[in-house]
Amino acid sequence: MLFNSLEFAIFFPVVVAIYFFLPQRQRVRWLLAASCFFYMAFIPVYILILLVTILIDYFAGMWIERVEGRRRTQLLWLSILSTCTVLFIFKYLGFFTISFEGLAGLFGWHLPHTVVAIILPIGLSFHTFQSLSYVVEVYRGNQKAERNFIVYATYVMFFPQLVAGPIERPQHLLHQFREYHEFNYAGVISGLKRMAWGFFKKLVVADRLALYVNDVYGAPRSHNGLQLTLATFFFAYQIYCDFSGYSDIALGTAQVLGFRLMENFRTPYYSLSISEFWHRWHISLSTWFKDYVYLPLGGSRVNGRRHVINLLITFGISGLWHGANWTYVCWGLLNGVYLVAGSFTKHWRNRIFSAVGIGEQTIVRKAIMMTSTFLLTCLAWIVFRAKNLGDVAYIVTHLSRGWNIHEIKTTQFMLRQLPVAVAAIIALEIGQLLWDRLAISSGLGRLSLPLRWGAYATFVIIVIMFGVYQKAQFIYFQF
Amino acid sequence: MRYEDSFADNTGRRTETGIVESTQGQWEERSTDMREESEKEKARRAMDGVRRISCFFILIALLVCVLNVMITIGLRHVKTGQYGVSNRIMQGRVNAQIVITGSSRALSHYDPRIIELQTGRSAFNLGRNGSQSDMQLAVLRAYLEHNQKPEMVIHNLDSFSFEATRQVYDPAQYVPYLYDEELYKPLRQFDHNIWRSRYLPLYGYVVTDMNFSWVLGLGALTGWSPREEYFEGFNPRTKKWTDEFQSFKSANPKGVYWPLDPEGERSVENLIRLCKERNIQLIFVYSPEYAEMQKLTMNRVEVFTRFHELAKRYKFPFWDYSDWTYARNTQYFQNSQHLNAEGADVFSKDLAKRLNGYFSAQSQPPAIAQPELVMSGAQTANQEGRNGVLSFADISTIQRLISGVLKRWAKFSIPDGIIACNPRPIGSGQP
Repeated sequence: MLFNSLEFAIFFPVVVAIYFFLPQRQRVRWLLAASCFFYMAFIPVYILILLVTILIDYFAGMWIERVEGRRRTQLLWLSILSTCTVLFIFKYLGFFTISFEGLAGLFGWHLPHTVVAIILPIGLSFHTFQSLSYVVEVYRGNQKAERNFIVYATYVMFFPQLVAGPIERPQHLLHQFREYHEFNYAGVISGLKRMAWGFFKKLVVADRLALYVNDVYGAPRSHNGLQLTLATFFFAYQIYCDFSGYSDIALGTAQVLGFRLMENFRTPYYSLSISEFWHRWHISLSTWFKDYVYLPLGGSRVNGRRHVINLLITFGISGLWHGANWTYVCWGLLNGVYLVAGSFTKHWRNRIFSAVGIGEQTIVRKAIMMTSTFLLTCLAWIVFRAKNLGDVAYIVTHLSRGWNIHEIKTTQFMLRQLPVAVAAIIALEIGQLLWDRLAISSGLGRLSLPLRWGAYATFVIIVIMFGVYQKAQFIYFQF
Repeated sequence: MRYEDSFADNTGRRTETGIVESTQGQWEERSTDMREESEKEKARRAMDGVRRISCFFILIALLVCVLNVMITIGLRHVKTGQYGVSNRIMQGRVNAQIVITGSSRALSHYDPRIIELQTGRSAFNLGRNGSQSDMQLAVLRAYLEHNQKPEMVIHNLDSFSFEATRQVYDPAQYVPYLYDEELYKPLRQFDHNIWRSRYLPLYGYVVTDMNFSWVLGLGALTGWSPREEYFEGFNPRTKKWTDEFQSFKSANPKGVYWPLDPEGERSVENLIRLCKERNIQLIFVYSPEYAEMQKLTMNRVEVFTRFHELAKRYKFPFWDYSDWTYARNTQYFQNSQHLNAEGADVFSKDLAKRLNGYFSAQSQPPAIAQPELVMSGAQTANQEGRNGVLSFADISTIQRLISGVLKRWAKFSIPDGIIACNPRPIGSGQP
């Protein structure tokens, strides 16, 4: 079920109403049932895959806790391998088969062409990683193994974050299923506001920009440099609003039910460096890779060369996590290269800034750093969004060619949509400024009821009227 | 302050040990009362919160309903564009003698002003972008429901005329009129979710519509209407030849196959029967198609055989303009399927001449002139050239007609005895 669907508009109030009327013991069961229903709205039979993952890690957790020493480590690896096998079969088998055939062809071995066409279960990478974090934390002794199957299954399947995160850690979420959540008016209102902001990001900004981006990136060779540049800029906003919008809706939904999920985005395009960007973008995944891949590899507490390798491995895997395509791997590696280059050139950059008299805390320096970080991110998004590396090469080399202001529109994106799209981006930036920096939310709370409700109602009506409702999935569902 | 202290302060009695002087039962009773009171307070606050949230969503629902009504009323008052055309049809303000039905090809090929000028019969174009025969039939039914019966229906055919509707194109154009059963019934067959647009406020305007028609609706309430691009239902295409055909050719190097769906065939037959039942003359016209495209239609012979069969079986003319004089000239086309404004102007004149011939032949005794049922455009042009048929029999009729047209279009008043030209170049594509 999509958050931006009529079905969810009926599903959510029903789930919330029943949830608060049920006694504590029944509530987790109710959440599990609701989560199953939510997931089965996509492809019902795929819930069995989820069940397999849940069963593997539920029993693995208990066994790991019971044993010590080498056997404990072996069990951990067995659990990780089993869980990752499910992920491999459904997500990467086709990709590796084709890649292997291609590689064999290079050596003159012509293997028979095998077509592996499996529909990827929605959000598979997310709940797989959440399950993996559970067994690793049990292994590390940071989390007690959960003996109640219903509670554990609900932890993996909790519908607000089931298909696109945030990827929670057991220490943060699991215990919340045992707590009694009273109906808290302030919490519910806060959650609803968060959801409304998420819907604005998704429906008004991301899905409107998607119309343009899909047209241009669907056939880059049929579009001029201006269109390619604009589409790349739009994609940067589309993917941010799509994913952070989903996270906002997820956090808001959970908050209405009385749960706290981890923050996933902190205005990443305001970052002053790529390193900072990755502390603000998809935080739950970045920290996952840091905790379970980068640090176990040695992190930065190794020699320089090994540190570089650790970064590239972490970002390469992160790229592959996003999708079974070389473009994603290259995107991950490119970000790794950015970080390596960033750390190597830091000293030189500081010297250049000092030489031209731009101090460390000046607005000019911040503006230059923020802009350059954003541009580098946009360049990486080209690799992420393009269908293949051939398209990447074409787009990068044609960004500045054949600009024609009269041919700015595309098949689906009429010219009249352009002011709406631009206005949506400006409104987003203003909204973020008001929300984060000026705490407009609490300011609104001090207004009289008619004014406050007027402001909220206007916002909701704007989202309804300017939203795009094309049953568009969230981009990150496919990961 | 400890709880015991506060309790003692309230009662004013303490024991030596500092414990409140009260029996165990009294203590429990009191604390239970307080707990209950606190629970009640919590429940009251929760209910108050639920009530507030419900009120807010009721307010939103009311706003949505009010907006929906305003947009619908606004769109029904739009005087220009596609909605302007639909409003004239649904409000019974067309009542033309000749009605043209069909897809976007009909919409952009037939200029009713030229037909009206040359035949002396009022004409109106009901063509709809992206419509198949079943949808075209629905529009015709709605037209007949609200307007006087026309003398003639010119149904424009396409290679894909026998294809059934899979998805309604631009459903938003029908949303203000979904309470009209003639439109709603067929739409429900093509799109099972159309009920949402009918019953859920704003659904049809914001979910199914990508063109911000609601802005037009709200604007119309203030008296604003967009620039007119539709002339008696005719929407000329102002673009010159584009490279769409080249892209199409490279995308379909082996050509295209148009399916002959049983439902599509049934719709065409139903349209014929409807005209027969209502005693309306029907002419099938295959308007010009770019010659190169004709070669790319793999089952063209099969489709045209069906057209001929239907025309023969139901005894009505089928005019095929496949070999139109300018079918190879890209100057008259926007793409392979659509004439541009210049092409539409030339074609409409050709067709109007032929209609004149047809009407003249009908007015003569049958023994003298029996119009050939199936003729190509070239054949007719030659025949007309030989006979020199012109339907302008009475100069005063022409004057009356032109005067009427001009009055309607330009609010000109023409003194009797003067034949004026329409100030707007007809068929130029410029309003």
